Parts: sequence; C-alpha cells; structure tokens
Amino acid sequence: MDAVAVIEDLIKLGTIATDAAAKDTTGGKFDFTAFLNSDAPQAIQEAVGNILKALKPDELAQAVTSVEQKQQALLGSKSLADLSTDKLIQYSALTNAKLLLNTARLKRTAEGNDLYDWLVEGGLADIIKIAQVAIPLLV
Amino acid sequence: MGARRVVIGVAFATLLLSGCTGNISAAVKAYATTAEEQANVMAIMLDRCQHASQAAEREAACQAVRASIEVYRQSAAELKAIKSAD
Repeated sequence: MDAVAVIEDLIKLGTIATDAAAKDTTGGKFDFTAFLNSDAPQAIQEAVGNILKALKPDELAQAVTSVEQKQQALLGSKSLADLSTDKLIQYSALTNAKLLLNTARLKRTAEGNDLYDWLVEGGLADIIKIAQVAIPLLV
Repeated sequence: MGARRVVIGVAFATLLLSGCTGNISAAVKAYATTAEEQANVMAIMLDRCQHASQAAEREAACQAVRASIEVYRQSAAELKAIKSAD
C-alpha cells in the first residue's frame, strides 16, 4: 500500500472516531472500541473494519518505504547538506510524514485503543497538517 | 441482537489484535531511526535558517525547522502513552 492511501485511510479512521467522540454524551473518556462493539451503526462498523484490515503494521511499514523512495529520488547522488533549501524543505516534509507513519505503526502495534485515542486526541489534526504538505510530494 | 453484538465484538477484537501481531520493538526501532534522521535534517535546516544569504530563504528554512520541531514534540509525546503488546 502506498503512503498516500495509508494517510487517506488514517484521515478516514480519525474522522470517524473524532465524529463519534464529539457526539458521545455518556461523559468521561470516550471508548471507541466499546462504541464499535455496541452502539455503532453497521455502516460505521463495516467502514472501520475495512480500514483496520488495510492498516496493518506491515502496510504502515511499506508506506514508510515508499516515502523513503521519494526521499532518495529527491536526494539523487547529493548529500543532504548539498541540497538546495527548496529541496531540503521538501525532504524535511517527507521526513515529518515518515515520523507520523511510524507513530501510527507504533499505535497500531500497541494494545487496546492507542490508535483511536491518538487520532481523536490530536493525531488527526497532525495528519491533516502534514498531509497538506507531503501528499503533493508523494503523488 | 445479543449474539450479533458478541460476533461484532469478537470481530473488532480480532482486527485490533491483528495489529498486535507486529513486533513492537521493530516499530520502536523504525520510529527511532526516523527521529534520528529528522534531527539530522533539522540541524542542516537550522544552519540555513541562520546563515542563508537570502532573507526569504532563511525564513522558509526557519519555518521548516519550527514545523519539524512541532511534529517531533507531538510524536515523542505519543510514545509515552504506548501500551506494549509484547
């Protein structure tokens, strides 16, 4: 799976989880897994199930590799210090995207609700911010 | 209805656990490698921010350093909340 598809899936999943958390009226910390297992409409359960199938740690690792290929193409035969500032800024944006994908991989590998909690508590906003800069460089 | 919920619950538990089959130490190593790379890029970018000949180039480089610091800070903060599956 390429990096753009993975970033888009993270945004979709984050949007679903954030929307559900915003509508939650039970109070306290929102438990997205409990919501999926009980109250969630079937369409949401299916959408989340399909995204989780696509967002396995190996897929996230593969997305990082595809970002590295773009970085290598940007670098060519030059060293990092020899890049123009414009190219260095693009390389830096791709490194930011890689760190985000590695954070998502860690959250996906960890137990329980880590991935959902991260997305709801700021991860989604970070992904959108990074995606605006990185996706044009990745397509 | 109760049986349907049990089936759904098992299905989501399975999907979440499918993430846990990945090795967390490999994920940590990949994260650390990228964090180190990002620090190296920031060091070069900071030098451009301070010493590039054109003001616009300096400002663009400074802005990129600020953006990277924020990504670095937020992602490092996320590590504190990780629950190990190993």
